[in-house]
Amino acid sequence: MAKKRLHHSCPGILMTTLLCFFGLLLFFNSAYAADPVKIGIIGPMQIRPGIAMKQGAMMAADEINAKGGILGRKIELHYADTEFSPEKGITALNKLAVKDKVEVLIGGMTSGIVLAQMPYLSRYQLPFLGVAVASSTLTKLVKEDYDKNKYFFRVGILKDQLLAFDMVNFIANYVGKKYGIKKVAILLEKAKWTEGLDQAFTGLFGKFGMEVVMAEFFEIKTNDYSPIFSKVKKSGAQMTVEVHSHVSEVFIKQYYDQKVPLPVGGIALAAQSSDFWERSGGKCVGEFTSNFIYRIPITPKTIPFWDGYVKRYKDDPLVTATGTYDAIYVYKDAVERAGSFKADILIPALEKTNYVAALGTIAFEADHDLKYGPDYVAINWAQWQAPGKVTILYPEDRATGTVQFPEWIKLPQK
Amino acid sequence: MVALEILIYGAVLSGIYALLAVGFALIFGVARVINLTHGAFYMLGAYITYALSVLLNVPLILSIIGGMAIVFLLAICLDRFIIERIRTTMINVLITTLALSLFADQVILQIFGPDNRNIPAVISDRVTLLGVDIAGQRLLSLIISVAVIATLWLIITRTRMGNALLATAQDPEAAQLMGINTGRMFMITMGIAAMMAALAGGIVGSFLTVAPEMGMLPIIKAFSIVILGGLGSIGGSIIAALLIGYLETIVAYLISFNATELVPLVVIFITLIFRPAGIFGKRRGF
Repeated sequence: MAKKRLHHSCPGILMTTLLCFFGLLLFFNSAYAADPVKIGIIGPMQIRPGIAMKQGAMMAADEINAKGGILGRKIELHYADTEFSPEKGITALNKLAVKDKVEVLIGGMTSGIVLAQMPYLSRYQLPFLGVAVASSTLTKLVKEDYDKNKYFFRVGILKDQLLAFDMVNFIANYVGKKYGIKKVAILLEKAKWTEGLDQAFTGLFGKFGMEVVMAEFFEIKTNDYSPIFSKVKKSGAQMTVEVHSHVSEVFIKQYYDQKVPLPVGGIALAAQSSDFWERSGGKCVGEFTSNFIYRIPITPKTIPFWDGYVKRYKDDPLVTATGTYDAIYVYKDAVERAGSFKADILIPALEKTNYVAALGTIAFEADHDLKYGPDYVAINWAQWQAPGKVTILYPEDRATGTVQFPEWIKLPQK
Repeated sequence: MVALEILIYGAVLSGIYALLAVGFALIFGVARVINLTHGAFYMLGAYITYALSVLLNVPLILSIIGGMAIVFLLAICLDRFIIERIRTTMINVLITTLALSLFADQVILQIFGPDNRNIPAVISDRVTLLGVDIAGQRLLSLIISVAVIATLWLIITRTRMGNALLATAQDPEAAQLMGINTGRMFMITMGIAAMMAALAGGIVGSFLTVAPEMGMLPIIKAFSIVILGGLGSIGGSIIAALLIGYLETIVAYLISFNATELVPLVVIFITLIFRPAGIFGKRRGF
């Protein structure tokens, strides 16, 4: 009898269990959907590039939230300051992962700091879209130990080797050809990302038929460049190539003051700021500079982003602002394609990214490095010219003017 | 050619170092105080000059003088309201002045933000001296340093106030018994030293930079110079500034420009081991 009763009640129990299960699932799902998605912005938040990261992130988050968020979840931004130190960088990452419980990290500046943070990404299973880190070591780690390091993607800038290649290409094929320059002196700041770049440059310039007559590293905190520039003058070089991301305008001020009669330019983060003319007292006149973004139609999104940023912050966007802005959209795109915020599902989706951003079309190589080229992300070469404007020179289809040297640099045009 | 460059650039560097170190030495000599806000005065001088000249369009020379005057007043207030109360305990002075220096950095960071600033040059042209190209402002900084230090020397050796300062430096109690207001002497010394640091900050802004953290390096240089010269000895500080300025320039030109920052540290080590009182010091500083 009891057996029969049990037999009869079985479908009822099953139905009730299923109802409870789906009810709970619905409850947790709706609660989950209502939760904001927490994005951690990590970088040197007290200095200009870090402030620009924050501004780029806020702009992207506001735009996305106004359209309903990511899969119905609004973006909530959390910030942590690395203070330009690997130890503080780890503390900042721990704060975002453990206290704030962010689901993705965006930002990063200075490769040495991100290198120290790498082991923590797999521990927390936290994707990291690196915005201002150029060292190829980072993506080499992804290649060498994919399971452990797959969380890192480079979004905002190209890796050091590509930066080097693009710069050499500009100098050799544009400045070199125009002015018959064959010999260069290279001055590099001492940093993780410039390690080995002196050798790489020597090889690259050699391939383009040019010669590196001097390659020297200098300390980031150098206050007096006179001996360095004096050595450059005597080196027989026809152009000074600068490679630095932590050095302020002191470099170019003293280059001008010492009347070094050679064109100067290269990779100089400080020179990318729109107020660099003012900060250097106009002494950057004639300096070749580069940036991933200017107010030109690189993609249909470039000018709207630029104008929106300028309107909102009364300042031109730095590369870290653009990188962070684009990285948030890249994350949104991948989450929507994956239908999930979970790292293991998201990472394969991020790997398949082909997203038209403000910077260019963002796609990744197998080692999670940013794809390079006119169809993806490329560098624009320009020159600071009086009375304080940036003239784009190369690629020539994006040019807004031609080269002008200050009067003490006399080069015959070929 | 290299020798001429070393001669000229070394002189400019030594001049700036002397301007910073003489003030630092003066405070120790007269008031027996190691003032770690000295770097902050240098930084404040630069920022006030920047604010007056660039933001308020005050003529540059007046802006530099304005910077010196404001820093002079700040230093006098610092001495009157803070240092005077703790002067007898060296460690209290060290900790308090260090804390105030960090406080000043943060205040400037909050007001002006983290971006570097530029002060226009009084002389924006470049000069060719003995075949060496140099910014006019750098040369001017050397001339100003020499003039200011010479004036200070004259004041100390030829005026009644100078005599009072020397008397206070030798024995504050005896000086007080002779009717010298030693408290006032300490205050004036602090003001003069701070003014010299502010002047240095105002004139280097056009060829270096203006940034909240700019005060840290000068304090290391000034410290090593006064240790080498002998704590409290003004003449010793001038000679030590020349030695360190030229040593750094020679190392930069002939050995490696990345080794210059080692020079003051090596000098401190060697001096403390072999001559703890410094070249002209009469007693050990530590």
